[in-house]
Amino acid sequence: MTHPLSSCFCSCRVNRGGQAENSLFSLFRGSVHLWKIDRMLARYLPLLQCYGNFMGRTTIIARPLLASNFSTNGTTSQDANASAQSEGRREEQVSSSKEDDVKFKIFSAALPLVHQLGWTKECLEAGAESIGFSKSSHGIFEHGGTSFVQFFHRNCNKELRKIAKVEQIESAKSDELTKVHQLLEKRLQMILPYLPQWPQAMALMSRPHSSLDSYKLLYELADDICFFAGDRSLNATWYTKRAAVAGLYITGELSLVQDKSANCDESWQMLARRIEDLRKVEEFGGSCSRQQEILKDIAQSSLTLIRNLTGMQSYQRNSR
Amino acid sequence: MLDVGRKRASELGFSGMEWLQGNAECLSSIADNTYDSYTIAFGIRNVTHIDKALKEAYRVLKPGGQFMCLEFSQVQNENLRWLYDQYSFQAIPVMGQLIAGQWKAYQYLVESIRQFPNQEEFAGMIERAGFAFVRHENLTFGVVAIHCGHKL
Repeated sequence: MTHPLSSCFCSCRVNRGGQAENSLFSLFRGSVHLWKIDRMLARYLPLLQCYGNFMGRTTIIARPLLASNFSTNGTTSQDANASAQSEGRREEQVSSSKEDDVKFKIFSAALPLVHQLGWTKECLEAGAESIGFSKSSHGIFEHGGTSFVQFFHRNCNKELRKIAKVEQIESAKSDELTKVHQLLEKRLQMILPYLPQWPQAMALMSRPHSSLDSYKLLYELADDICFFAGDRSLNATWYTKRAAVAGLYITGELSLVQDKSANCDESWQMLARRIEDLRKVEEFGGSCSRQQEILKDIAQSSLTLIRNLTGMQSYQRNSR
Repeated sequence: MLDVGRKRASELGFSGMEWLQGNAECLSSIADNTYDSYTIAFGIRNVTHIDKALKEAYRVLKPGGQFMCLEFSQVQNENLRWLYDQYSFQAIPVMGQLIAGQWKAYQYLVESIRQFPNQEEFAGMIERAGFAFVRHENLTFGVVAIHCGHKL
């Protein structure tokens, strides 16, 4: 009866029909209808969110908006929290199929050969031959070098999740940004052994036909890092944090590729400086919230003043 | 047909190829685990027992070897399918008669295309023969499909 939408629904029916004797019945019917939709959403949304994460695309936009909708409805906030934590976490499958095993074996055998043969089909062929498979096994990686690099990224993301769980980064005492810094460093260190051939890998991933996959992999990485750093936000900061982490990763990668210092020290220092910048922005933003409200009030009253002066503000009183 | 093949190979400058005539359902002269890849283009439709041919393909391939099949398949879009059917049954036998003088052969061709299983069914048959990583790609809206699989 107190659903915000039901009142709109009911007032429409009364105004259009003008039949006062039906208003109570339509009020009841409208509310029941909307209550049913609400219950259905509550039951199926976690499933939809899991499905969306599996597909990688569909509920990305809707997730924080829908989750915040639940938090206003007091009874389901517990469910929302639990589902937000368990939904779509790219949990590793307990039993991997024989196909996955073979693909991983060929990939692992081909990785050491990247230094001589690059991220190419030939490297995959050589890797397959070294473990007794036929040369044609490179076809398992459908797009040759590009699929090789994608598999490498996916594997690194998986390793990062394992490291985050083993080192229990989520429950550590440090603040969110420190954890983000830690995880980013670990992830960037995974490409260090292949740094001379990394420009080729980056070129392969930035081609138009692999752009969708690289966007998805970057989103997964940013999401994982934010999640294991402890981010449970349900508003617009969900987006800004992930965008910031994705940007940091790309900057780190680009910096590493052209870094000439010993142990890539310049890149790590640059990363630390970017994290400090983010920290300053966060502090500044917090202290600014009161000022933001004042600014908003000033803007609104200036607008009203201008409308009054130009005669655009019209006052209509309904005569009944 | 093998003679045509030999001639084309020599024209293109390929050498060292062996030409063998045999039964796709029973490749008795070929040992197990010999070849890196097995391809068949517009041939598997004409085999009586497709599952036997697939099993033989699995047998002669090395572990990791790739099976590739190019074959007529089902057009996915319903409207295009109607157009394609009209073209197949009205136009192709006529053209066959006019150009090659063989109406019946081209009638058999379009009928055998309809008899052949569609993309998903054929992929299922390939999987049942033991292949892994089975995938297919449509060409020209599904008029022709390439199926790929690997022996593990």
